[in-house]
Amino acid sequence: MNDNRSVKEKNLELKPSPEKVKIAAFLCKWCSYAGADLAGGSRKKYPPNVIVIRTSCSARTNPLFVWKSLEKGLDGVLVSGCHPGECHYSEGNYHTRRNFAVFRKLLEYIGIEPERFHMSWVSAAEGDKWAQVVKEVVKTVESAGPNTYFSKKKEDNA
Amino acid sequence: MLEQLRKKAKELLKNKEVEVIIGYQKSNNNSFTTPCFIESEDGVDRLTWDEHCVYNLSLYLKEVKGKVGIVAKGCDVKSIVALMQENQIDRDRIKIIALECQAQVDQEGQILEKCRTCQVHIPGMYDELVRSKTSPSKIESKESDKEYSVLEELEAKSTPERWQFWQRQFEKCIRCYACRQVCPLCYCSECISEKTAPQWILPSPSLKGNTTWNIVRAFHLAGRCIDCGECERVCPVNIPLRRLNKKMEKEIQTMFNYVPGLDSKKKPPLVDFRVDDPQEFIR
Repeated sequence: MNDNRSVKEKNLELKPSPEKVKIAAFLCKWCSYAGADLAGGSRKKYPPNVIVIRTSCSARTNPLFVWKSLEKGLDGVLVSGCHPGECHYSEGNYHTRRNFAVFRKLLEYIGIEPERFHMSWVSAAEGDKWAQVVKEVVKTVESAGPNTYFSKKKEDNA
Repeated sequence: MLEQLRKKAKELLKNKEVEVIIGYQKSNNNSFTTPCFIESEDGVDRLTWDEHCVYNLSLYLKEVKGKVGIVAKGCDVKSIVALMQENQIDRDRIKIIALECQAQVDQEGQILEKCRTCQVHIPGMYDELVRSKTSPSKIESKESDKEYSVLEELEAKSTPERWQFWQRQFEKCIRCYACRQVCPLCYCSECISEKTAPQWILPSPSLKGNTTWNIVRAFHLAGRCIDCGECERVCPVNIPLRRLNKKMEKEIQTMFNYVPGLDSKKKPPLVDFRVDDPQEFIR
């Protein structure tokens, strides 16, 4: 509460600089998306590195979306849905869980750092948890560094 | 063994139990085999059986209509089971003539990698079984012949090393899609690789497109691939595709305790779930 900086200064602090990581977040519209909205509504601070994409259910997130994000040069991907047992469509998130349990192993095997892919369960009431998850995810993705899988430089070296 | 096979095939055709038999015949220069389709009793003599019958004939089951007899090894039967699981073929119109198989060899005479860890020398499902007269297990078992030993070398590498390894492999890909065409379980009438709106996979043989294609192929077969090894056999640029498929098989076996191609009543693992599936990776 004793933050004496001006609004402008605070905004500057939150702006993503070019060297900061970019993360695609696929959020289920029934819970995580609302949870992220709540985090915003209650003025929780979290890093602005995530690009939120709303999906009709976490199970709508095809693993191909995750790979495409990485292929297109994003540094990390976060998939978030309802807690198990709370899916709007009864069982969508159970399928998401299985799919990505396998897919993350494939990514790792292909040679993608495991730090780049994350999943979380965030309900519509968990604005706090959303802010926390984003903070953690950004930190982990930063530890893996920028995505250079298909950048010119790397291809020249190979 | 061959006489028995021919006799059974003849009976099936004679009794009109099947209209066509899919089997193996000698290739033109007699050095290898090739698939054949036999519709009359006289043709039965073309059938052959030796250690060169590498092809997985279940690939043709969907295309051949009517009542079909198929000559199948243990691994081929596994893919028939997988096709049944996915309601792609009707068991009632298929007669399986199963053959006890020791091992198959490639054109150089080397025993195929998959045969070294084979668990189904005698197929798990059949209508007719032809047993071999020779004593089982000609293959000397080696210490390195454990089920997933083929993966060990790659798994021991670091993540960037694996990336390098696979990039070097995918770089070679010419996108001929032979791996897709030969796979009995790649039966979609419209493949995602051919979609243009949106275009998920770059169609030209570029590193990006190749990587995406191979990831998609591996994932679409996760939990379904029965390891017949045909994709790797037909690959003109020798990408070790079996190492991708086998890895998926291993992970699914450890996580969900599921082995593909054994039980036609079971759901494939990725369309199924359990409430207590592992989720330690989820925040």
